[in-house]
Amino acid sequence: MNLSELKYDLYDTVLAIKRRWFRSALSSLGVAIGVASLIVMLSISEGTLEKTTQQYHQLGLNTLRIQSLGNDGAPGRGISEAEFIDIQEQLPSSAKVSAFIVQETSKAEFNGLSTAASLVYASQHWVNIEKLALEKGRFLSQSDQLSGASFCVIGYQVSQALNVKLYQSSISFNGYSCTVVGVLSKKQGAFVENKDIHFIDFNRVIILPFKLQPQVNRFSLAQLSEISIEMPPEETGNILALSRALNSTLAKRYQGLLNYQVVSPLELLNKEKDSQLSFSLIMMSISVMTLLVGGIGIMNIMLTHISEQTREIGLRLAVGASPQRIVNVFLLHALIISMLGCFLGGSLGLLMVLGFDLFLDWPIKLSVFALVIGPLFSLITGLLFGLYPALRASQMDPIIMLKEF
Amino acid sequence: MLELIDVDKGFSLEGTTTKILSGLNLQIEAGDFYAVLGPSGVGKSTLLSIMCGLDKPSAGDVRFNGQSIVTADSQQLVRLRNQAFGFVFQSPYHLNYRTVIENILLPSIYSQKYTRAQALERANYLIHYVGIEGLENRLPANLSGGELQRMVFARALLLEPKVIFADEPTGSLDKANSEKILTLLTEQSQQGCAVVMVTHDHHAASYATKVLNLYKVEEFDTENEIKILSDKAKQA
Repeated sequence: MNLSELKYDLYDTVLAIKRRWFRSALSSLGVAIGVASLIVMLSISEGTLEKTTQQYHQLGLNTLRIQSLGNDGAPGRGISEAEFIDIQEQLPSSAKVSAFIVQETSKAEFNGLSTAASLVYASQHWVNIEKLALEKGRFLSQSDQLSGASFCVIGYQVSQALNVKLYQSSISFNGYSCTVVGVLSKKQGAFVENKDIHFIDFNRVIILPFKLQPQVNRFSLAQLSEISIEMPPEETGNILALSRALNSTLAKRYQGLLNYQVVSPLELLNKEKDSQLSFSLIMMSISVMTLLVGGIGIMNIMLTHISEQTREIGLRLAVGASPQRIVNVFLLHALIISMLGCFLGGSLGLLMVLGFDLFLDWPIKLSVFALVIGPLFSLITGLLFGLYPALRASQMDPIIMLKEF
Repeated sequence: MLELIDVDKGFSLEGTTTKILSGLNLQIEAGDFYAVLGPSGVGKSTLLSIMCGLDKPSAGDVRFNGQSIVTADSQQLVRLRNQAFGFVFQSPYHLNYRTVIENILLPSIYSQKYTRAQALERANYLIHYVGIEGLENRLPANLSGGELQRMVFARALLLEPKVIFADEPTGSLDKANSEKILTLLTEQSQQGCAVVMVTHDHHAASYATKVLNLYKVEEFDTENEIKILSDKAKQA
């Protein structure tokens, strides 16, 4: 088929669609709904995955958390400072290892004002591993840690509630007090809402030197909430192997007791990606099925067109149109209807994604993959479901089609 | 030019074969104007379909310029129908969403014989020749029956066919328009084009130079009769 033939057949097809625009629009609706749902569903899936990925990145994919079990009614006796010391010795010097103890919801007071806050007794590096930033002041220094100075860094909301001044305000809690040397920046969306990760509201913390922690066991060792490990970024690839090694070491040490759990944000992210992929595949299957239903609609309309255009096809065959040319015309027709559906569905999908993003605050990200695969599937649908009617038209007998001839 | 050799045609219906044409021999030369006459159901239109390659005989052969069109492949038949044959149907079939000039140009769309400009020039000439000038850009819905049939006639002549097949071309026309179409067919045969016209109408048949009378096979043992109107042939 040369260009002028294509132009003629294309114009013929456009005229045929214009003559039956309402029916053509209806038949393209199936494809439109399929494409729109494909774009929306994959965009939601990608948006959710992106949000989750961001959260895990904030936690640090090169980090590991050894969390204490045995608090809050869970079985086990928890982990102690002894493991912290051992792990520090076992890991290379490039690794940052820190430990902390959380005391939930204490009442902090200053100058007649009070607010609820979590007390975190954290060792050096913890603020780095958690990627905390300062609004003003400074973090606790190594000498503060070593001396056990009564200094603290407080969360943004605590600072707002108590109206403290750096180095001048001494806030009190649980019968103790500390001088505020730093205020954390407001932290948004810093937490993964996952049962495997400790939920600490960094806007409502009072960070104190690890040495000040009040609870020790019968060996004068502190019972920890968590040991946090951060490996250099280039070691991220080995983090899962390290997680397995730590698990194995601790399992031997505790002889199978459920005193701890090793949590790897990277491992959690991989699991999340796997489940998100399954979700995407299910959503895609539903959309593809909708497209197939749309394709059947196109086939139906094409067969109707053919029965209405029997004499026209017969005339074309009689004056010299080859069967191939008839196939081309009807395939073109099916393709245009499906592409029309693709355009409608694409526009609808984009509007819905935009609407969800603006008005519903859903984690949604426009899926480029859907924008590529939507038209591709529409094209395949048009070809697949247009082929049978096109072949049927081309193989019709011109004598029967013209009846009187 | 067009030759029918021992052509048989039968149809099978519910296990019974009905023979329509039997042992038909015919030689059509350039300039011949054949009228095919006979009662309804005798096989006139079937014969026309066999002659132009739209249908195949049960036995025998049909040759155009010595080449069998019975054994020709579909591409050869498409080319033949496009470039060597012209068709005028009883109903003036057309594309109702295309203008008159676009309908006339239709065979050129499927042909490499003329460039677009050449085809347009020939179409404009034919519009004048068949007498529908001024209607080029109208849609067929705005044409009368006679004008439509002349449009179809112009379409049949576009690629300068060697044979024109006309199936009851005046069947749906009034007397004046019938005369115009028959005159145009006569002119074409006089210019060297073979014309094969199926008709019921003896007046229309009187324009032909040769008449083929078809009889039902069971009624006429000697089968088909060809009558040469020698006096008219001489006049031509």
